[in-house]
Amino acid sequence: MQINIEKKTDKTFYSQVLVIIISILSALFFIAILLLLLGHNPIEVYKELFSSAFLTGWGIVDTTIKSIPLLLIALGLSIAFKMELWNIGGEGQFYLGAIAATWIAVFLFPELNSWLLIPLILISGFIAGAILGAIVGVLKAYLGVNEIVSTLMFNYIAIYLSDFLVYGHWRDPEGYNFPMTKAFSEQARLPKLFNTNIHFGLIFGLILALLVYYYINKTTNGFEMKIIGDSERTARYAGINVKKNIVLALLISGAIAGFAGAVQMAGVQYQLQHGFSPGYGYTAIIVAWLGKLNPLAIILVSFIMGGLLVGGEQIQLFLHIPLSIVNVLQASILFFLLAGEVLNNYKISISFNSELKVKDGDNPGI
Amino acid sequence: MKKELILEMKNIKKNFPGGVIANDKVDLKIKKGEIHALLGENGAGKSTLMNILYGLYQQDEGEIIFNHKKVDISSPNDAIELGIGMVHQHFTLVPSFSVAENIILGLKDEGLKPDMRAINKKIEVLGNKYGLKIDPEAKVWQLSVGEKQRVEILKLLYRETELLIMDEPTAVLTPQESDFLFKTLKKMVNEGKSIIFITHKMEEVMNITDRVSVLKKGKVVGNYTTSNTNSNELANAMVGRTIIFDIKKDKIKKGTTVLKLEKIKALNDKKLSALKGISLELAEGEILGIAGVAGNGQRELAEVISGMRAPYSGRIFLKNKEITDYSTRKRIREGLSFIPEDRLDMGISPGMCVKNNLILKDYFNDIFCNYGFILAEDKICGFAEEMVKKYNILTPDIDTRSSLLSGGNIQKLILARELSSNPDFILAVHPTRGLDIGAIEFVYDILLKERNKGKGILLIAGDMDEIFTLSDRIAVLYEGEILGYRPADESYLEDIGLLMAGVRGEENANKY
Repeated sequence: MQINIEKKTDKTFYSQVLVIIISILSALFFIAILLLLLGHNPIEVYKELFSSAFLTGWGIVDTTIKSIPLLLIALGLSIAFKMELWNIGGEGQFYLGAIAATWIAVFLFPELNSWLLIPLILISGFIAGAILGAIVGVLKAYLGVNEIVSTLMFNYIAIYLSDFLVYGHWRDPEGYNFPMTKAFSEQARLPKLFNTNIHFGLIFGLILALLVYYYINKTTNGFEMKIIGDSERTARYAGINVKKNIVLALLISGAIAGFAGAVQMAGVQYQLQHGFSPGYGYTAIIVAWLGKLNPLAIILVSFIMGGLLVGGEQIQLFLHIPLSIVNVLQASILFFLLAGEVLNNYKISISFNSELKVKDGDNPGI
Repeated sequence: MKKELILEMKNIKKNFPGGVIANDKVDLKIKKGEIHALLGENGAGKSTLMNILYGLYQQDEGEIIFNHKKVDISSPNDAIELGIGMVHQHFTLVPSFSVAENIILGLKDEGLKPDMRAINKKIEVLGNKYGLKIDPEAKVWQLSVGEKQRVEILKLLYRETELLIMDEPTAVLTPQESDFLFKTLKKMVNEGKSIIFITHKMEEVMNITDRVSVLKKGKVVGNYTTSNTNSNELANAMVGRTIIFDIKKDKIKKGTTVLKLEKIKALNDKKLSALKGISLELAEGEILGIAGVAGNGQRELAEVISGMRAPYSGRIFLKNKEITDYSTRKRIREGLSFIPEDRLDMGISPGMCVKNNLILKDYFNDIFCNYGFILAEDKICGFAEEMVKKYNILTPDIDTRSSLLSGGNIQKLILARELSSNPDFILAVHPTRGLDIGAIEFVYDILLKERNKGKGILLIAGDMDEIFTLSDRIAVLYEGEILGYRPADESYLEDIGLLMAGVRGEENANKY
């Protein structure tokens, strides 16, 4: 018996969307079994989860707020992913951006007026993330260091740096010993939208989505990145500077995640504190992937994923189901999605003739 | 005395998808205790035949008789069980395992906790018997290439293999290591083992083999006893050609020098010397064919000229301007065009559409973008439509993924892009490999037209028909050196065949 795996050439838009829907449904089904084992009625849990996140006014507001960091980070990641650079350091870059923003807002210029202070905060987050991304990029392009390992390691460095600060020098002396800094001044806070708690970060996210879309699809640099992602040898043959683009993609990717950290500080948190991110940087990986690296699809997916976070808090509160179940749900969506992509990208056939199949394009070695 | 047959392959036929006949009614007889050479150009069908014998492929027709019994070999496991083993060019060892662990890997009867001491002992005994001394406890990653090959051979001897297939075993070895290998092979045949030796090197055939079978285009064209033949006869059998196209070439109008290489030396990916001081000159309006068996530095030569691989010494000139340190992009701008060997993984970006592949080298030019960085969709589409029409590229539309095109149309796409920039020099590597007759004729026609327009073309190809049809002069590349130049004339065919197999005739004084 022989299992043959061949690359499919005829992927359709329809089949790609189908894979996403099926993987989400499979994940929901899988978690339903878990819930049953825990003694809950899955339908009731899901009803609570979705209705609280998407059907109530405050739910939609909360969902939107939670989707902003996801959207921003995922947009950044999608640029790196387009080049097959697996930046999983969104979390660390997000933290570093938040640290830089706090430094500017709380320690350097707390008294500056909004028109100067807010841009300064945002730029500082952008630069902090860019530096981290550039380091990873240089390591990858010039020394061949695997970016998955280096970005993951930098996550720990950034997160513990933040802890080091909030447990140490940056701790608010009047904060009853909680691990957090002093709050941002009023001038350092982003304006709100529509008389709700939704902050200006949403506008940034939507504009950035359009910019990233335009950058990837309409500029020469985006063209280069797409070629490199498709075939690095072709890119080198065409005279494209692959190393420069690796550094650039990781730099932009990190910069946007760092920007997201600054937006989160100035829009929601108003102070750096221990564990302020429920893993936005990691969830954003799922968002980017579910959105097929398409910036416009990412907008929609980040809203759904933000809703899962909100709904998760609700079922924890009212049904006493641990919030972790939402993490498990997110993770299993990604698992089913990755498995589904293999099925969508490859044709798998089982034959009972043990002859090795020679695929088209392979040199049969004659 | 050594008359007994160990293997007989009868009437073996094998087709590949796409109508390629890799083996056509091949008969092969191997006697016990002999070294039997399989000689032939790339694509002659040697590897296919051996892969059938080793169970990697199955023949469409024909039978295999091993040790007087008809056998059915459907996997390498079957082959090994019968006593047939193969040493591939690329070793199949686990680097972090020891020699002994690699040797017993996959053996079922060793159980969960093999007795390593007994195994080490057995390996040492085998090593002493055949002159394959090696420390069984050494880790494979610490070994040299020659030593790794010894481990591969020991692996087969440990499994009591009677017939060993060696696929170009000296390709990766130094001359000293090769000599050592030959001694081992002699010892093995003296012990009654049989060896099938695949090679391109005439010297090795003459020195160590007992008999020779020559394959050409999937058929056995001759069986010889080494002591009764000579290298000229074998070379003739190997490259003798049949004319497919009768293409009339215009008389050459040579212009000034367009490409010049001066003593170029470069390493291959394994950091071994691949080009050992290549010098050549190419004039406008001339096609210089580089003949040679694959793996003699062709890939590296093409990469060095195109700028994708840096030579460690030597200089390159394009139109009298030194370009040795120029990047790939700068060379393209200076008028260098490159039709690469690897169409799908280098010539095009397979996941991108036809129009994007047509501007692969020009997307940043003002003709295709506004303000220096925004792609001008309308101009790109206009250009792509024009190219598709001019070069008759069969595609549903210019937004079709280019990997969906047929091989011939992908090559047309590449030609369209490479020639639209009006280059001075064209580097063409295996430009018709795998194409059908119609597409081949199209490519020949285009290349000759460019030559007549006064472009200099360096043609690197494995196919002798192609080299003779297109070239004005032929240079033979062997082990990273140009062994000699010959005119593209039928009467030099045998001579060229000998050079390709590494035989320098006494008349070889680079007189052409």
